[in-house]
Amino acid sequence: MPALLSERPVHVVGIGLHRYQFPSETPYVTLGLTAVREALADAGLAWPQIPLAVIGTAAIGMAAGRVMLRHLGSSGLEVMQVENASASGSTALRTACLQVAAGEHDVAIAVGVDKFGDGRRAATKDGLAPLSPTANVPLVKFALLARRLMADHGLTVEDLAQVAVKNHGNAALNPYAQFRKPRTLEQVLGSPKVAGDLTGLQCTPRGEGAAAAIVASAAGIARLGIDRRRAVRVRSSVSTSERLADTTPGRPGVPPIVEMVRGSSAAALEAAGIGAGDLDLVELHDAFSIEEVVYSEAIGVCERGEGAHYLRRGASRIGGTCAVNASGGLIGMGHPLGPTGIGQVCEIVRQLRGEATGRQHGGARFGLAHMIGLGSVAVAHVLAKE
Amino acid sequence: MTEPETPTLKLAHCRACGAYTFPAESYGCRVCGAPREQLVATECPQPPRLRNAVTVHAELAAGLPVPCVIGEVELAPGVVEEALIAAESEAALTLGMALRAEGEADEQGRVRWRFVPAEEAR
Repeated sequence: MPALLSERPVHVVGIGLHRYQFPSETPYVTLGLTAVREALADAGLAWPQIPLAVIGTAAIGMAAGRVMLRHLGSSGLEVMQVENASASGSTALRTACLQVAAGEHDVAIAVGVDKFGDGRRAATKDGLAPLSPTANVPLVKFALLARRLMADHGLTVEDLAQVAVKNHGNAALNPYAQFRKPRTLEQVLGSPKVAGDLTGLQCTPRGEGAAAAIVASAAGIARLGIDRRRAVRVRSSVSTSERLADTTPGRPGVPPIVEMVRGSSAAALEAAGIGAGDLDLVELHDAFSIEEVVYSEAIGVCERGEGAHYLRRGASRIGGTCAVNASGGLIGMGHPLGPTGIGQVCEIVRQLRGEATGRQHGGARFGLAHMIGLGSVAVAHVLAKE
Repeated sequence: MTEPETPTLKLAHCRACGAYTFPAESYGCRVCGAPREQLVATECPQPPRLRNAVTVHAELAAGLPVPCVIGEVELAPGVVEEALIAAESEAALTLGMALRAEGEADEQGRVRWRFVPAEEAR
């Protein structure tokens, strides 16, 4: 069981974002520095006090960190860069947390930054010819999954669309979101069909942005005089990848990606010492509406087969039993790749502090940020107000 | 002049554990990890069967002719792959139906596969 963060507490002490937006001419440096400066101000720290920066980016390219961070002053800090597809930011945060927990540094910053269009996928370079031209297109896989669940569990096109209605509504309340318009069921269903039963407004948009989170140990908080009341504990951090599907005859077929979400979130919750029923907030990978339905079940905030009902009765709304994607999620807030996982953590931290003006989920104590990267890989963080 | 050889869809059969892996050129067995030397290229051990299908409306991949039908095809026990289905619409398909792989090689020797309902293919 992952134990380091249980034994050596790490807290998020500063958060910052550059609003997610449609692709533009804005240099990535501008995006990233906006998030970093906001996180520093939020923590009440100055750049020279940060000894480690972990950059998560999927598309910017080699050595994105120094090119950006030198504009804050060349302080000689340790800089590293991680790439883990859509989970790059989550992996950067995990790396920063583990470095702090290990005692290598007592404070660190994780920065996710990306621009659309420069990413290249290893899957096209493996020397193997795919059977389908859509083999590396996640949208088609999820359209197929949606169709299967509609046949097996009675899921309806309206159920799928309601995910987008909720998340566009949440995003409209989030000043950092790419989409800021509430959408009706009719608008979601009436947007152009993309694949299967998924329409355009049920899919995450292409975009760019940045997010940053500063983490510190208890010693770092004391040494730097950080406001302990606004610190949010990272109770656990878990990372896994897909396993081979269980094809035993007679077993209900659980897609490997769904099983990965179940396993990674269960491990994160166990390491945090809580159950899924304790979660007040979940930020999850809803690149396509069907994902929120199946991952809500896989994480355990509702029973298997109950995801659509959970949504329908308002349990996943802000103010419901467990607010799912209060930020607007990938569908509404956006999904610029590298920043997304850190953006999830920023939302949960803001909510746990009680600072999510206009979209506050009352009385929240625990939140799960769960991210998926192409491949697939999963990264999960449990955060707690303590 | 000889007719160009018709491509045949092949999988890898593992001599170590008996599992099938797609494609035949895989670097190792997807189940036990046995190296390529343990893999034998073989034709599908069963008629490929359609397990699921959707219509793709947007051009999500280069050269994808839209609208088109993309399905999940079971090539061997436990081996389900996404594939282009040669059908006018989903309405012409039945889940579980037998399919036949038809490959066409382009000038660079790359094979584009599509799966045709077996009754039509005869």
